[in-house]
Amino acid sequence: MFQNFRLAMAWVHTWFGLVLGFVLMAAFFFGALSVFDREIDRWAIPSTRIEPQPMPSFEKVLRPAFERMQPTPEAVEAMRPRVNGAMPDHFGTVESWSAYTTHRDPVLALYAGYDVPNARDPEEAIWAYATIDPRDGAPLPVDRLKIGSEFFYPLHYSLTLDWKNLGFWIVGFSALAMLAALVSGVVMHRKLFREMFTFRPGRGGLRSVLDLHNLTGVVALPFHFFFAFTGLVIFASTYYFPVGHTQLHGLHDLHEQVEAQETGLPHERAGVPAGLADVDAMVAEAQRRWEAHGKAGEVGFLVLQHVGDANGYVSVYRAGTDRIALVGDGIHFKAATGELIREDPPATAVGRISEFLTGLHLQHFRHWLLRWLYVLGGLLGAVCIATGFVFFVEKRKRQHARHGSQGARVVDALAVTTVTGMVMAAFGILVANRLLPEDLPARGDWERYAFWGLWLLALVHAAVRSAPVALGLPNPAWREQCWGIAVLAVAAVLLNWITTGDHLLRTLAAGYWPVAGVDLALLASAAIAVAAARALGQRAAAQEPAPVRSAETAHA
Amino acid sequence: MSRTSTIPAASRAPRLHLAARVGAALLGGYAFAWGLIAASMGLLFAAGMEFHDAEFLGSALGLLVFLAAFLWAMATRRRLAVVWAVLLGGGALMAATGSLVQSALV
Repeated sequence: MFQNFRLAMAWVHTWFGLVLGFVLMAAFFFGALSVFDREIDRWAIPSTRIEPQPMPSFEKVLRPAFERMQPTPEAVEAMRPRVNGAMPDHFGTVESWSAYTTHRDPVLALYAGYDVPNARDPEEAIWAYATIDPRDGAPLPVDRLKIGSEFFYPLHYSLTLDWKNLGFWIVGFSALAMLAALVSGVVMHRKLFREMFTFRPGRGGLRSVLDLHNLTGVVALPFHFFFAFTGLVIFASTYYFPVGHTQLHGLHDLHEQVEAQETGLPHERAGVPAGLADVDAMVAEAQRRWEAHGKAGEVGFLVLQHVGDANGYVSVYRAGTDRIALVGDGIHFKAATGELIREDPPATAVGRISEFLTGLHLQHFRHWLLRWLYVLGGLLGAVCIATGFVFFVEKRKRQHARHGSQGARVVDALAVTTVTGMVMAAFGILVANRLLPEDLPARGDWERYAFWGLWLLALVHAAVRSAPVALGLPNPAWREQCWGIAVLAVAAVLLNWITTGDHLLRTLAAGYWPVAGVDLALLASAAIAVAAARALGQRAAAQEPAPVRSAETAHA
Repeated sequence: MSRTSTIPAASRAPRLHLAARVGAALLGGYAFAWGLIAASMGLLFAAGMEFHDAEFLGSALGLLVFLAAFLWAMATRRRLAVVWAVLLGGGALMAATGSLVQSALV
């Protein structure tokens, strides 16, 4: 089909890179933003702008908060079709209480799962969520959208398209295409080492764009490959190749039975009520045991299973603050008496590899230089893809103009949408976050509409302005959307000042980096966008190249 | 004698052939990867590896194999029928191995 291997790889690189590149832009850009997802949450929810806290006392803070929780009316309604009979007013049988925190979380996420009486599936559970201030247990409004951790972060791995997990599949497919693009890119370019140092901006046009594409691809090649690969591996057994849940679920069930026996952690309730011993003492004991193994650490995850039952147990897991590997190191206690049931044994060799790869991708560790390098890598990946689009269009648009083809125009409009349009949408949701009334019902939904609406508008704008591309000329939408980015970024910073009073001078003086950092990043983005817009404007004014006449009109 | 029968399939309807090739690379590659994962999981678990370890190792290998199979299918000059036979056939054989191991253990 193709003359040789290199040509085949070039075809794969071009066409899979082009089509899936539009999805990959979102994965890389929002992945880069996700490194600072919790900081973005602080910016978006001003009432949570406090310092990160360690896991608080169970008796003083967590227990009263847990006991207050119940599923929302919406959750109860959603459960109704899965139940034979009436729904109770109050869910009393608690399957689990859990609390989760990281070194960057000032607020604590609480989860409570309850038994559902009369449910068709006996394992059915209904969930309640709460967010509290860990210093005193005061509840924080749950209907505030955590724009970082609950929007940008899921956007990067599923496009927030949860219907039949379609978004997971689209992003997964694009990750596979990324791996193929990296391998085929290496095959196409023989001078790999030299390309790391080659950038000829003076040459102009196609040469410079290709140089930048190669440079950003090669400089962070291990990073790009690694993130696409580990992202796929993390979700492989759940979404992409669920072999253990389907074809080989017999082996899975066999393993679960054996494991339940080995670990001594009861899978079911006993049906006998029992009290709860001192959980704070259990947590202290867990930390003492970690220290005894030379692994002193903070508590990341606390789970109480089968609450109020004789089979109840408490599991304490280590936070991933101080190392790359996402170790659990769980220690489990009998809830009623506080005696130790089990210390999770050290991981197997394969288990250690899995923990390391997962931990490297999810970066729970406290190492700010490495985290910033992650952001840089993500942005380099986005630049690589964007320059790929530009190269594709620039290489073909004069030829397409001569033949009256619309191909380059369509690709260019889509490129504007997924590069500048995407950034506008990301900044736009922050602006909407500050503009919408504080107590608007379903405020988070409105913020999401603002994001998607703005992105759609960017598409329409890019399409409408793209007519010159069909004549072999640049699309003015690039320049115009750069101005749009700058305006939105500055507006977001000003609105933060006006609506919360936390302007840059104050946050920098106080050293409150989550909010100062977001504001600074917005201003830096505005500066870059303005510089780009002006450069594009100057070039457009200087060149004024003649539009390429289509072959048909020349004949007429 | 009909001229079209002497022209190779790839030249007769290039776009269609390309689409068929991409389809074979993706679907066949997926089937091949699934089979490899099933076989690895079954055999590793049977050899004593912990289940989730076998699942992880199988998935990691499967993804790399999917990539390799996909690139091979796109680059090879062999006929499409051969590509399908190798990928689907190989995938089915490996998947069957996995199921065989499961039925021996469960």
